[in-house]
Amino acid sequence: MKCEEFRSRVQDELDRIGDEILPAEFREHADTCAQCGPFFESLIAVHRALRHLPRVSPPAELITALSKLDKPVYVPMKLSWSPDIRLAAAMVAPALLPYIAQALSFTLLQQILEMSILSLGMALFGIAALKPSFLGGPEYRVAPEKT
Amino acid sequence: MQDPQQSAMDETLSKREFNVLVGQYSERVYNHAYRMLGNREDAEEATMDVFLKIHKGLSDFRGDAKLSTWIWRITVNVCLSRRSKRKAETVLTDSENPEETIVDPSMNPEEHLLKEESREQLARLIAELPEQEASAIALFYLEGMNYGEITAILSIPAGTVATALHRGREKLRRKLCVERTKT
Repeated sequence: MKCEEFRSRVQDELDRIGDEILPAEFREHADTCAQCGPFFESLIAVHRALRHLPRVSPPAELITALSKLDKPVYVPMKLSWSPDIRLAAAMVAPALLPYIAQALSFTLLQQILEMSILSLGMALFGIAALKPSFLGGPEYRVAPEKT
Repeated sequence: MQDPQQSAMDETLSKREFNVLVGQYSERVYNHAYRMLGNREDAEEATMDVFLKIHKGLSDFRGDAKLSTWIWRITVNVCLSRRSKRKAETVLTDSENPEETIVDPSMNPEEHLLKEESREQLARLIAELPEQEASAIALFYLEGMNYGEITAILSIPAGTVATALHRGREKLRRKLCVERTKT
């Protein structure tokens, strides 16, 4: 085996089958080559050291905290307007819609377009004003201790 | 409308499933985070982040990938995100001492690496490797995964996994050889 072949194949073989059953040709080349010998020894040493890296234990407090993670808590979005103003806006806006559309309309096509735009606008306005509950989001917390 | 009793049962079941995952994966996730981040404090925070994401996403998990692959993807992403935020990594580059530097042939490299301090040093050096190499090394050696499993988690081709592993291991080898010659 030549040095080039040795260097290009040895890492693949190491990953594939490990160092214990590495084909003898690799060891034979390493034993007889002044350049590849030290390379091979240190490579095997790093491979074995990595394989036997000590595992660390997570702290008990971390495990306790993880096991106490509660179900998601529903948190509604904060509302910017008071309920009275939101209700008034939601009721008045649709009632004004035909008057606004009539004032703006000149042709049938324009009227249809304006009505569509206004309807979409009012729908968005309604959602923004009312902020229905489905716009809220989940939040996570650690469950309180059970006494 | 959902039966409140059924809802409570679902909640208990979900909680139980989550706690099973905590039991199965907390130690492994913590170890991976520790090797990727290099210190216990960051590893603890990363582990907490990982399980919060698992908790949040468990009910939406659609089974497109294996549950273990999904959990490891979250773990790897959380660790990588923390590493990039920290911006304190010292990347070992190819230009660092490219020559063979084992100058003391009388000393067996394996004996040297079995020393406690050398193993700690090795662990620290993994955290200093570039992201992909550190992830590949940690998954391959700590979790005993093969190329296929690492490919699924890191979403990179098997050839790239092999390259990342080889480069990472080679950098560790060179760096350790340099450290050895200094001592």
